[in-house]
Amino acid sequence: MTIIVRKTTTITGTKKKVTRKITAVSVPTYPNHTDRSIYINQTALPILKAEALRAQSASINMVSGATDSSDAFAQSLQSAILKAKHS
Amino acid sequence: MTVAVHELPGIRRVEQIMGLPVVVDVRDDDEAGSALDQLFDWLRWVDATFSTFKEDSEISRINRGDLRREDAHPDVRQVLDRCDRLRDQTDGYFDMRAPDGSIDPAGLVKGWAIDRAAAILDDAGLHNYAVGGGGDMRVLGRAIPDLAWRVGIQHPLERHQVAAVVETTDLAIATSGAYARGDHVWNPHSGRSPRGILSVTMVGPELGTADAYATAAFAMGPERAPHWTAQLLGYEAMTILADETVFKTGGFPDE
Repeated sequence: MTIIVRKTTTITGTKKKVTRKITAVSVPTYPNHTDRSIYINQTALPILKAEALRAQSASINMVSGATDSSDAFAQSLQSAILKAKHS
Repeated sequence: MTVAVHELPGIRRVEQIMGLPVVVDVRDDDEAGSALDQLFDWLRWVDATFSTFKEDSEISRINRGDLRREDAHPDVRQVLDRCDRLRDQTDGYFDMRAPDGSIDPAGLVKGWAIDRAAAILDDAGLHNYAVGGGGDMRVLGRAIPDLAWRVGIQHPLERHQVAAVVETTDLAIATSGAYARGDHVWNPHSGRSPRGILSVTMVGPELGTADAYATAAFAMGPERAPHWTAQLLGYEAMTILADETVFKTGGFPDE
Protein backbone atom coordinates (compact mmCIF):
# COMPACT_ATOMS: atom_id res chain seq x y z
CA MET A 1 0.00 0.00 0.00
CA THR A 2 1.19 3.48 -0.75
CA ILE A 3 0.22 6.51 1.26
CA ILE A 4 0.84 10.04 0.18
CA VAL A 5 1.09 12.41 3.09
CA ARG A 6 0.93 16.15 2.56
CA LYS A 7 3.06 18.07 5.02
CA THR A 8 2.05 21.65 5.81
CA THR A 9 4.33 23.92 7.81
CA THR A 10 2.72 26.94 9.43
CA ILE A 11 5.02 29.56 10.96
CA THR A 12 3.46 31.94 13.47
CA GLY A 13 6.07 34.31 14.90
CA THR A 14 8.82 31.99 16.14
CA LYS A 15 6.59 28.94 16.44
CA LYS A 16 6.61 26.35 13.69
CA LYS A 17 3.72 23.92 13.41
CA VAL A 18 3.86 20.95 11.08
CA THR A 19 0.65 19.19 10.15
CA ARG A 20 0.45 16.09 8.03
CA LYS A 21 -2.58 14.94 6.13
CA ILE A 22 -3.10 11.86 4.02
CA THR A 23 -4.06 12.93 0.54
CA ALA A 24 -4.06 9.60 -1.23
CA VAL A 25 -4.03 5.94 -0.31
CA SER A 26 -3.54 3.18 -2.82
CA VAL A 27 -4.34 -0.33 -1.71
CA PRO A 28 -2.57 -3.45 -2.94
CA THR A 29 -4.58 -5.94 -4.95
CA TYR A 30 -5.13 -9.22 -3.17
CA PRO A 31 -5.74 -12.45 -5.05
CA ASN A 32 -9.45 -13.14 -5.42
CA HIS A 33 -9.04 -16.90 -5.83
CA THR A 34 -11.35 -17.98 -3.06
CA ASP A 35 -14.47 -16.78 -1.31
CA ARG A 36 -12.34 -16.37 1.78
CA SER A 37 -9.92 -13.93 0.17
CA ILE A 38 -12.77 -11.94 -1.38
CA TYR A 39 -14.34 -11.71 2.06
CA ILE A 40 -11.06 -10.47 3.50
CA ASN A 41 -10.71 -7.87 0.77
CA GLN A 42 -14.15 -6.52 1.46
CA THR A 43 -13.93 -6.40 5.23
CA ALA A 44 -10.32 -5.51 5.83
CA LEU A 45 -9.54 -2.76 3.38
CA PRO A 46 -6.46 -1.29 4.95
CA ILE A 47 -7.12 2.27 6.01
CA LEU A 48 -4.57 4.45 7.74
CA LYS A 49 -5.05 7.84 9.27
CA ALA A 50 -2.05 10.07 9.90
CA GLU A 51 -1.93 12.88 12.42
CA ALA A 52 0.60 14.73 14.51
CA LEU A 53 1.57 13.45 17.94
CA ARG A 54 -0.14 15.39 20.73
CA ALA A 55 0.10 15.17 24.49
CA GLN A 56 -3.32 14.89 26.11
CA SER A 57 -4.43 15.48 29.62
CA ALA A 58 -7.22 13.06 30.39
CA SER A 59 -8.96 11.19 33.16
CA ILE A 60 -7.91 7.55 32.80
CA ASN A 61 -8.05 4.25 34.72
CA MET A 62 -5.10 2.36 33.21
CA VAL A 63 -2.00 3.12 31.17
CA SER A 64 -0.63 1.16 28.23
CA GLY A 65 3.03 1.83 27.53
CA ALA A 66 6.33 0.20 26.67
CA THR A 67 7.30 -2.35 29.30
CA ASP A 68 8.41 -0.81 32.56
CA SER A 69 10.99 -2.43 34.75
CA SER A 70 10.06 -2.45 38.42
CA ASP A 71 12.40 0.49 39.05
CA ALA A 72 10.81 2.59 36.38
CA PHE A 73 7.37 1.62 37.65
CA ALA A 74 7.71 3.82 40.72
CA GLN A 75 8.01 6.80 38.38
CA SER A 76 5.33 5.71 36.00
CA LEU A 77 1.84 6.92 35.33
CA GLN A 78 0.25 3.67 36.42
CA SER A 79 1.91 3.98 39.78
CA ALA A 80 0.61 7.53 40.17
CA ILE A 81 -2.91 6.33 39.40
CA LEU A 82 -2.77 3.49 41.93
CA LYS A 83 -1.44 5.83 44.61
CA ALA A 84 -4.21 8.30 43.90
CA LYS A 85 -6.77 5.53 44.34
CA HIS A 86 -5.41 4.61 47.75
CA SER A 87 -5.17 8.16 49.02
CA MET B 1 -2.89 14.62 33.71
CA THR B 2 -5.77 14.37 36.10
CA VAL B 3 -6.57 11.16 37.90
CA ALA B 4 -10.16 10.44 38.79
CA VAL B 5 -10.49 9.40 42.41
CA HIS B 6 -13.76 7.85 43.48
CA GLU B 7 -14.91 5.60 46.24
CA LEU B 8 -14.15 2.57 44.16
CA PRO B 9 -15.99 -0.72 44.37
CA GLY B 10 -14.08 -4.01 44.29
CA ILE B 11 -10.48 -4.87 45.04
CA ARG B 12 -7.06 -3.98 43.66
CA ARG B 13 -3.84 -5.94 44.00
CA VAL B 14 -0.32 -5.47 42.59
CA GLU B 15 2.40 -8.13 42.72
CA GLN B 16 5.84 -8.36 41.18
CA ILE B 17 5.85 -11.42 38.89
CA MET B 18 7.90 -12.24 35.77
CA GLY B 19 10.01 -9.19 36.61
CA LEU B 20 6.98 -6.96 36.15
CA PRO B 21 4.36 -5.34 38.30
CA VAL B 22 1.11 -7.20 37.61
CA VAL B 23 -1.94 -5.08 38.37
CA VAL B 24 -5.40 -6.57 38.92
CA ASP B 25 -8.22 -4.09 39.41
CA VAL B 26 -11.64 -5.70 39.95
CA ARG B 27 -14.62 -3.35 40.12
CA ASP B 28 -17.36 -5.92 40.82
CA ASP B 29 -18.84 -5.81 44.30
CA ASP B 30 -18.61 -9.62 44.55
CA GLU B 31 -16.02 -11.21 46.80
CA ALA B 32 -13.02 -11.66 44.47
CA GLY B 33 -10.21 -12.50 46.89
CA SER B 34 -10.00 -16.23 46.12
CA ALA B 35 -10.11 -15.57 42.35
CA LEU B 36 -7.19 -13.16 42.78
CA ASP B 37 -5.26 -15.78 44.79
CA GLN B 38 -5.85 -18.28 41.98
CA LEU B 39 -4.82 -15.69 39.37
CA PHE B 40 -1.50 -14.87 41.07
CA ASP B 41 -0.80 -18.58 41.69
CA TRP B 42 -1.28 -19.12 37.94
CA LEU B 43 1.14 -16.31 37.05
CA ARG B 44 3.76 -17.63 39.50
CA TRP B 45 3.46 -21.07 37.88
CA VAL B 46 3.92 -19.47 34.43
CA ASP B 47 7.03 -17.66 35.66
CA ALA B 48 8.50 -20.85 37.16
CA THR B 49 7.76 -22.80 33.97
CA PHE B 50 8.71 -20.33 31.25
CA SER B 51 11.37 -17.99 32.66
CA THR B 52 14.80 -18.22 31.05
CA PHE B 53 16.16 -16.62 34.23
CA LYS B 54 15.23 -19.74 36.24
CA GLU B 55 17.56 -22.68 35.70
CA ASP B 56 14.91 -25.30 36.42
CA SER B 57 12.17 -23.83 34.19
CA GLU B 58 11.03 -26.03 31.31
CA ILE B 59 12.32 -23.46 28.79
CA SER B 60 15.78 -23.48 30.41
CA ARG B 61 15.76 -27.29 30.40
CA ILE B 62 14.78 -27.34 26.71
CA ASN B 63 17.60 -24.89 25.93
CA ARG B 64 20.12 -27.08 27.80
CA GLY B 65 18.91 -30.17 25.97
CA ASP B 66 17.60 -31.73 29.22
CA LEU B 67 13.96 -31.73 28.04
CA ARG B 68 12.59 -32.52 24.60
CA ARG B 69 10.01 -30.06 23.33
CA GLU B 70 7.52 -32.86 22.68
CA ASP B 71 7.87 -34.00 26.33
CA ALA B 72 7.21 -30.53 27.75
CA HIS B 73 4.03 -29.52 29.62
CA PRO B 74 1.03 -29.14 27.26
CA ASP B 75 0.91 -25.39 27.96
CA VAL B 76 4.58 -25.08 27.01
CA ARG B 77 4.02 -26.98 23.78
CA GLN B 78 0.98 -24.81 23.02
CA VAL B 79 2.94 -21.57 23.56
CA LEU B 80 5.93 -22.71 21.51
CA ASP B 81 3.69 -23.85 18.65
CA ARG B 82 1.92 -20.50 18.70
CA CYS B 83 5.28 -18.69 18.63
CA ASP B 84 6.11 -20.66 15.49
CA ARG B 85 2.82 -19.65 13.88
CA LEU B 86 3.30 -16.01 14.88
CA ARG B 87 6.72 -16.08 13.27
CA ASP B 88 5.06 -17.10 9.99
CA GLN B 89 2.25 -14.54 10.38
CA THR B 90 4.75 -11.70 10.95
CA ASP B 91 7.20 -12.54 8.14
CA GLY B 92 9.71 -13.59 10.79
CA TYR B 93 9.65 -10.32 12.71
CA PHE B 94 8.28 -12.05 15.82
CA ASP B 95 10.90 -14.69 16.57
CA MET B 96 11.44 -16.51 19.87
CA ARG B 97 14.80 -17.85 18.69
CA ALA B 98 18.01 -16.03 19.63
CA PRO B 99 20.94 -16.03 17.19
CA ASP B 100 22.61 -18.79 19.28
CA GLY B 101 19.66 -21.11 18.63
CA SER B 102 18.15 -20.91 22.12
CA ILE B 103 14.48 -20.07 22.50
CA ASP B 104 12.73 -17.50 24.69
CA PRO B 105 8.95 -17.28 24.22
CA ALA B 106 8.70 -14.31 26.65
CA GLY B 107 7.31 -12.10 23.86
CA LEU B 108 4.15 -14.21 23.86
CA VAL B 109 4.11 -15.63 27.39
CA LYS B 110 3.15 -12.45 29.24
CA GLY B 111 0.13 -11.69 27.05
CA TRP B 112 -0.92 -15.33 26.86
CA ALA B 113 -0.68 -15.64 30.65
CA ILE B 114 -2.77 -12.50 31.15
CA ASP B 115 -5.39 -13.83 28.71
CA ARG B 116 -5.62 -16.94 30.92
CA ALA B 117 -5.69 -14.73 34.02
CA ALA B 118 -8.68 -12.90 32.54
CA ALA B 119 -10.35 -16.29 31.98
CA ILE B 120 -9.86 -17.07 35.70
CA LEU B 121 -11.73 -13.85 36.55
CA ASP B 122 -14.43 -14.73 33.98
CA ASP B 123 -14.86 -18.17 35.55
CA ALA B 124 -15.25 -16.52 38.96
CA GLY B 125 -18.24 -14.63 37.59
CA LEU B 126 -16.51 -11.24 37.54
CA HIS B 127 -17.58 -8.86 34.77
CA ASN B 128 -15.74 -5.60 35.46
CA TYR B 129 -11.97 -5.78 35.69
CA ALA B 130 -8.61 -4.79 34.31
CA VAL B 131 -5.61 -7.12 34.52
CA GLY B 132 -2.26 -6.01 33.18
CA GLY B 133 1.49 -6.34 33.43
CA GLY B 134 4.17 -3.96 32.27
CA GLY B 135 1.81 -1.72 30.33
CA ASP B 136 -0.17 -4.45 28.52
CA MET B 137 -3.65 -5.40 29.67
CA ARG B 138 -7.07 -6.97 29.30
CA VAL B 139 -10.06 -4.93 30.38
CA LEU B 140 -13.70 -5.95 30.64
CA GLY B 141 -16.88 -4.20 31.65
CA ARG B 142 -16.92 -0.86 33.39
CA ALA B 143 -14.65 1.01 35.77
CA ILE B 144 -17.70 2.39 37.56
CA PRO B 145 -21.31 1.58 36.64
CA ASP B 146 -21.81 4.54 34.30
CA LEU B 147 -18.26 4.71 32.91
CA ALA B 148 -16.36 2.34 30.62
CA TRP B 149 -12.65 1.70 31.20
CA ARG B 150 -10.51 4.56 29.96
CA VAL B 151 -7.02 3.44 28.99
CA GLY B 152 -4.36 6.05 28.29
CA ILE B 153 -1.71 5.26 25.69
CA GLN B 154 1.50 6.62 27.13
CA HIS B 155 3.12 9.45 25.18
CA PRO B 156 6.55 8.06 24.23
CA LEU B 157 8.33 11.41 24.59
CA GLU B 158 6.40 12.99 27.47
CA ARG B 159 5.98 9.98 29.67
CA HIS B 160 3.61 11.54 32.17
CA GLN B 161 1.18 12.42 29.40
CA VAL B 162 -0.90 10.26 27.13
CA ALA B 163 -0.95 10.33 23.34
CA ALA B 164 -4.43 8.82 23.04
CA VAL B 165 -7.26 7.49 25.19
CA VAL B 166 -9.11 4.28 24.38
CA GLU B 167 -12.51 3.89 26.03
CA THR B 168 -13.67 0.29 26.01
CA THR B 169 -15.74 -2.39 27.72
CA ASP B 170 -13.86 -5.40 26.30
CA LEU B 171 -10.38 -5.23 24.83
CA ALA B 172 -6.76 -6.34 24.97
CA ILE B 173 -4.25 -3.49 24.66
CA ALA B 174 -0.48 -3.87 24.20
CA THR B 175 2.23 -1.31 23.50
CA SER B 176 5.72 -2.06 22.27
CA GLY B 177 8.48 0.54 22.25
CA ALA B 178 12.08 1.14 23.18
CA TYR B 179 11.62 4.17 25.40
CA ALA B 180 11.31 2.39 28.76
CA ARG B 181 13.96 -0.33 28.68
CA GLY B 182 16.18 0.78 25.82
CA ASP B 183 16.78 -1.37 22.77
CA HIS B 184 15.30 -4.74 23.68
CA VAL B 185 13.44 -5.34 20.43
CA TRP B 186 15.47 -5.96 17.33
CA ASN B 187 14.82 -6.75 13.73
CA PRO B 188 15.61 -10.46 13.43
CA HIS B 189 16.47 -9.96 9.76
CA SER B 190 19.10 -7.26 10.34
CA GLY B 191 20.01 -7.95 13.99
CA ARG B 192 19.56 -4.24 14.75
CA SER B 193 17.07 -2.23 16.75
CA PRO B 194 14.61 -0.32 14.61
CA ARG B 195 15.21 3.41 14.19
CA GLY B 196 12.70 6.13 13.50
CA ILE B 197 9.84 4.48 15.42
CA LEU B 198 8.84 5.21 19.01
CA SER B 199 5.97 2.83 19.78
CA VAL B 200 3.28 0.57 18.39
CA THR B 201 0.03 0.07 20.31
CA MET B 202 -2.11 -2.89 19.25
CA VAL B 203 -5.68 -3.57 20.37
CA GLY B 204 -7.89 -6.59 19.76
CA PRO B 205 -9.53 -9.60 21.38
CA GLU B 206 -6.44 -11.44 22.70
CA LEU B 207 -3.49 -9.95 24.54
CA GLY B 208 -1.01 -12.67 23.51
CA THR B 209 -1.62 -11.94 19.84
CA ALA B 210 -1.84 -8.17 20.33
CA ASP B 211 1.49 -8.09 22.18
CA ALA B 212 3.26 -10.29 19.62
CA TYR B 213 1.88 -8.20 16.74
CA ALA B 214 2.97 -4.97 18.47
CA THR B 215 6.48 -6.35 18.97
CA ALA B 216 6.68 -7.49 15.34
CA ALA B 217 5.38 -4.19 13.96
CA PHE B 218 7.83 -2.24 16.11
CA ALA B 219 10.69 -4.40 14.83
CA MET B 220 9.55 -3.74 11.24
CA GLY B 221 10.35 -0.07 11.71
CA PRO B 222 8.79 3.17 10.47
CA GLU B 223 8.42 2.31 6.78
CA ARG B 224 6.66 -0.99 7.12
CA ALA B 225 4.83 -0.98 10.46
CA PRO B 226 1.88 1.32 9.54
CA HIS B 227 1.10 -0.63 6.39
CA TRP B 228 1.52 -4.07 7.92
CA THR B 229 -0.77 -3.21 10.84
CA ALA B 230 -3.43 -1.84 8.49
CA GLN B 231 -4.08 -5.25 6.94
CA LEU B 232 -4.43 -7.28 10.15
CA LEU B 233 -7.80 -8.88 10.78
CA GLY B 234 -9.43 -8.18 14.14
CA TYR B 235 -6.60 -5.98 15.43
CA GLU B 236 -6.17 -2.21 15.19
CA ALA B 237 -2.97 -0.27 15.73
CA MET B 238 -1.49 3.10 16.49
CA THR B 239 2.12 3.61 15.40
CA ILE B 240 4.11 6.63 16.60
CA LEU B 241 7.15 7.57 14.53
CA ALA B 242 10.20 9.51 15.67
CA ASP B 243 9.18 12.50 13.52
CA GLU B 244 6.02 12.62 15.69
CA THR B 245 3.70 11.37 13.00
CA VAL B 246 0.99 9.07 14.37
CA PHE B 247 -0.51 6.42 12.10
CA LYS B 248 -3.78 4.85 13.19
CA THR B 249 -5.50 2.02 11.39
CA GLY B 250 -9.04 2.78 10.31
CA GLY B 251 -10.74 1.16 13.28
CA PHE B 252 -8.41 2.26 16.07
CA PRO B 253 -10.90 2.94 18.88
CA ASP B 254 -9.56 6.11 20.49
CA GLU B 255 -11.91 8.96 21.15
